[in-house]
Amino acid sequence: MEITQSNILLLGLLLLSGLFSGQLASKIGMPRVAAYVFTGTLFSPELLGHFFKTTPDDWSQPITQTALAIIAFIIGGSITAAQLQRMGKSMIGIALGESLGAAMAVFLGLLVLAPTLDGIPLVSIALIFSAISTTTAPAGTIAVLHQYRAKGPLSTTLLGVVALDDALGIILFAIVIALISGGSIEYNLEIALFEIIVAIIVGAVAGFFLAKLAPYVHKKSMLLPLTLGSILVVSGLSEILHFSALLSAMALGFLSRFFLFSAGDKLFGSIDFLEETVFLLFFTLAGTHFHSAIFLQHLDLILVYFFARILGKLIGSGFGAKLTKAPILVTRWLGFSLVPQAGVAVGLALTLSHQAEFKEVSLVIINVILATTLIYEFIGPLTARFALQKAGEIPTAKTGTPR
Amino acid sequence: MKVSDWLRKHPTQAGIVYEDWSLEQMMEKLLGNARLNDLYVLDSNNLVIGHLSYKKLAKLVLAEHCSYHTRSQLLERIATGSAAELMEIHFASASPDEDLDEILFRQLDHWVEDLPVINPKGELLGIINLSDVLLTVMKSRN
Repeated sequence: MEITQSNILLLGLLLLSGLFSGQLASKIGMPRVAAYVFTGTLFSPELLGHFFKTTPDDWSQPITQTALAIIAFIIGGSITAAQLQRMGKSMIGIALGESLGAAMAVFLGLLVLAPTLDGIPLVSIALIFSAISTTTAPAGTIAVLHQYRAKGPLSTTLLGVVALDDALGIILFAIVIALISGGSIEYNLEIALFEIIVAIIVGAVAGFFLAKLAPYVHKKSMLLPLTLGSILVVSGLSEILHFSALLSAMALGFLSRFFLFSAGDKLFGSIDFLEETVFLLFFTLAGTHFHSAIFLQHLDLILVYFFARILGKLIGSGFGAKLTKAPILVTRWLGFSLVPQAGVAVGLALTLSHQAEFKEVSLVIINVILATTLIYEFIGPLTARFALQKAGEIPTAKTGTPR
Repeated sequence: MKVSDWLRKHPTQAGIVYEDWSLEQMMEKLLGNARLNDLYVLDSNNLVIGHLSYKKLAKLVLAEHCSYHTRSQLLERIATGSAAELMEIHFASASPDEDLDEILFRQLDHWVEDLPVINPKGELLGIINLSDVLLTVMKSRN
């Protein structure tokens, strides 16, 4: 039986099968992310996807772009200037250190490996991977801390760092894409700078209007169309005027929260809950891009990215912690708890498949990010537990309190 | 019946805090009086500038026991702010010259147990407790 061009049916099946496979995985103690990806893989062109006579690239662009803009908006709006001030220099320093450390290590690792990928210079591919490598998965980290009832300076710093580094990753990715799109980096520098500034200005102006309109919407349930509408307008304008939708959506979130002050809670409460659904969509969609041949052909790339990112996080977080005079246990062990990489990384990789100049290499990038995300999901909780144990922040069975 | 008349017959003390109060101070105030459901934030001129629900404060205090946080909740957990940063600035309220029937609709629409009564200057005059209203309604029916 052939189901021709049934994009909506495929999307529905992805969401439903992803949801239930994730629940099943949770019950048997497996990472939900692995179940999402596995489910998506079943719908790849090599398997069931063949019957749908369609490839995800044909139809997923508006969905992926909007979904990632929603995530960028949520990330931008989750941080306030006052909170940044209160978090202190340690958390900010470590977040910067581990993000840039991972980015540099992955960049250098790929330059040394020098993978040959058609249609894109080596420096560009190294920059893309390095930007994606900065992100960490907050959900996985919180789950580990909750599971072990961990408490202490390392746990607190870890929460602060994972809350910040996705924002840094999105900013870095947007800058990298603006720099390498459509020509050499030197040629693009001025254009990229212009695009970044325009993106921030558009997001800021839209954020101001969103904050001014929000108090007129009294029903909580009607705040969702207001926020979604604003994100779509900014995202759509970015497509027409060629600026970064990600930066713009992030600026929209940050500035609307800034202008709304404490009332921003209600506005973001209406959309925060979408994050899980968006990530489910990202993982299953990314799974549909699975190609065994590409996977096997680029095992070296997967290994280099995997180890370089961990090494960069370890060195970078230690360096950031030392520089900001964080406690010795934080300096020594925090990097081990920053291994998980999830939704934002996969979402960033997915957006590449919709840009003409990256179309050829996007399959390789998605497959590498997917493979490493899966491995990180399995080892992440173990390395985090190791770090928390070493820092004495997991309560002992006898006392019930951290050592 | 006017709201001001109701307040005279059913004086109920509102929980008030100041904008620079910490989470610990607010919890102490809230838990110190079993009848308090919510807190109202006053500025230095004793005018109401915001509202804090029991649910929101409880969630913040017990954040480490939650297995999942949204990104905002994550940042609130590690960088909790003062009352002014946590309060809701748009909330349901009543003025003293309104009819009780009118404001009951508002109370049910927003489903709040306590409705603050605020005069045009912004001063908090008291709260209308839904249980007190229900009690009166039930008595009148009987």
